[in-house]
Amino acid sequence: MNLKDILTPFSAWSNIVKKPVTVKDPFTERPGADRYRGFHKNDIDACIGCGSCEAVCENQAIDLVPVEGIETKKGDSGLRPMVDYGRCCWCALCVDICTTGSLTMSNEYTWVSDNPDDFRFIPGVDKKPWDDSEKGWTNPGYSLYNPERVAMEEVEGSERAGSFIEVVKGYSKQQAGSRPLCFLRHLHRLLPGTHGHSRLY
Amino acid sequence: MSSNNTKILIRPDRSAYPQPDENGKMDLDLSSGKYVKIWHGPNHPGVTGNMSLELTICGDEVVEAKTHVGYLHRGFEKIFERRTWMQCFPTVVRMCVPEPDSNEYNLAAAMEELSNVEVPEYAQWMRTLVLEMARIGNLLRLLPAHGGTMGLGLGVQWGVYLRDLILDRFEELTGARIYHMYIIPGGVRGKMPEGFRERLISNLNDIDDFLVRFKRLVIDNAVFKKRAIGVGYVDPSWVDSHGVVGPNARAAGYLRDVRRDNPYLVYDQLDFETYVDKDAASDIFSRTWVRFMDLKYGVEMIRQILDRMPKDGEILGKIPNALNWAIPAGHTYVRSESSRGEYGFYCVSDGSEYPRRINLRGPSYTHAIALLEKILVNANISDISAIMVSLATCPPEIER
Repeated sequence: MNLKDILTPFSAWSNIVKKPVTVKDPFTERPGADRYRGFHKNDIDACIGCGSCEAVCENQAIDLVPVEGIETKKGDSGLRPMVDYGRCCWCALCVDICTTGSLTMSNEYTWVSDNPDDFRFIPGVDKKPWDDSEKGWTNPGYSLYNPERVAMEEVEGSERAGSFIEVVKGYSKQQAGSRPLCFLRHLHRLLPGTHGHSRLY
Repeated sequence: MSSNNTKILIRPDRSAYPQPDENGKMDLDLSSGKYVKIWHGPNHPGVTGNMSLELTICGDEVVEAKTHVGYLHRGFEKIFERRTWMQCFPTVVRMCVPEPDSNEYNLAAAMEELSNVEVPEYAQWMRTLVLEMARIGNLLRLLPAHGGTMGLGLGVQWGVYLRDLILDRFEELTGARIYHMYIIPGGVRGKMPEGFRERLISNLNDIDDFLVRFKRLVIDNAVFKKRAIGVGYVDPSWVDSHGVVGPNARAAGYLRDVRRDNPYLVYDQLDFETYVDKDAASDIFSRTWVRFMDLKYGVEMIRQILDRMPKDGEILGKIPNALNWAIPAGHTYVRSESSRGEYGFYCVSDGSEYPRRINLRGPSYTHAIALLEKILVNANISDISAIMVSLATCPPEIER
C-alpha cells in the first residue's frame, strides 16, 4: 500500500462537473420498448375463443368467459379470454400460441387504479387506453401452435386383442386439449353460474 | 494482479479457542458467557438475498457459522412436476433473478437434446449473445458490490447505471428487463432490432470506461486492499472437495470454465480468454480481480460475437405443438457457465408432457453452505458481508 492507493479514489470527484444520468420519474415519460410485453389487447372479432391461451398459461391467469353482444360465428365458442394481472407473469406464451393471432400485448406497463378488480378484465371488451397502441409484443414472427395431428399411443397387438386399454388410454389431457374444437371443454361454463375460476374439466 | 497474501495474511493465535472435533463439530459451552449467538439476516443489507447465518461469536470473531435458508418459500423443482414442459419455461427464470438466462438456456438445451430438436445457427448465436450480455449485466451488479460491503458505495451506483443500460438492451431485444424469457425451447423469440448493435457497442464502450474508473476507485483503494487482502481465504485444496466452481475456483488457481471445458452453443467458434489467478491467492481481493477480468473479457467477447454472427436467419427450429410437447423418456444433464460458475440442470422425462424431475445444480448451494460455513470461522464479524458477497451466492438457487 502506498500514497497512490490513498489518492487515486479521489479521481471520482471528476464526476462533479458531469451531467446526472438519472431520469426524473414520474415527470419523464418513458415508453416501453417496441416489443415490450405489457398489458394485453385482443381483436375480439378475430378471436374464436379456442382456449389455447388459457391452456398454455402456467399461472392460470387466463379464464375464458362468456361475453354478451358478440356475434358468434361458425367455430367460435362465444367465449373470450379474461386476464387476471394478479397472476399474469407477462411471459407472452398466450400470444405465441394464439391460433388466430388475435391476442397481442401492448408496450404499456403503467396503470394505476385503487380498485383491485380493475386488474382482471377482458382485453378488447373492457376498453383500455392501450387498445389502439401499435407497439408491443404483437407479431413475434413464429407460432408455438402446431396443428399437426399427434398419433394416439398404441399398445402391443397381443395386448390390444385382449382388452380395450388402448382406447381407454386414448389421448392425454394435453393432447386432447390442443385439438381443434378443444373449446368444447369449456361448454360447461356456458351453463348459468358455472363460469369463472372453475377448473373441473 | 495478485494480492500475494502469503506475506500480508494475518493469522492471529487462536490456540486458546475451542477446536472442532474429528467430525468438524464444535463443542461450545454457551452458558459460559464467553459466546454470543447472533443472526445475520435474513433481513440484512449485507446478506446476498433471503438467507440467514446463525453465528456464534467470541468477542468480534466467529467461532461457528451455520447457513439457514427457507425464507423464500419457493420449491421450484416441485412446481415443475405440475407444469407442462413449455410451462416450465417462464418459471425457470425465477431461480436466479439477476441472471435468469442460464436457466432458460439449460431448460431449452435439455428439452432439445431429449426431443432431438435442431436449433438454427442464427438462434445459437443469439443465445450466446444473450448469455454473455447476462453475464456482464450480473457482473456490473456484483463486482462493485465487493466494494459496497466495505462502505465504498459509489462504485455500486456506477455499476447499477451501466447495468440499467444493459437492461435497456435486453428490453428492446427480449421484451422484458429482468425476466427475459427469450431462449425458448427450439430457438429464440426474436431477431435483433434495428440499431441494436450500435447501441450495444456504445454501452460496451461505456463499460470499458467504467472499468478504468472502477479500478481507480475500488481496486486500487487503500481501504479495499487493507480489508480484502488475506481475508476470506479459500484453501485451493477445498476446490474439489467442496465443489467450488467458476470465479471462486479460478481465484484459487483452478481453470474451471464450462465454456472451455465443455463447449456449448458457438463458444468453440470464439477466441476468448479465461482469467485464472496463478498465485492462487484465493482471498476476497483475488476473487474481485477475477470478476473484474471476467467483465473485461465478457465485453470483448460480445464485440467478437457481434462481428462474427450471421446477419439474419431462422430463429425457431421445428418444434411440436407447445401445448402437447411430450418429451421422449430419458434423462440428461446440461450445463452452462453462469457468471457464478457451472450451472446445471438434471432433467428426467417419463415420456409425458410433464417433467418427471428437473433438478438444479447451482453454484450457490456449495458456495453458501459447504464453503461459507467453513471460511467464516475465525472471520471478524465486520468482514462477513464482504466474504458472502465475494462468493456471489444467490439464495433462490439453494432453495429451489
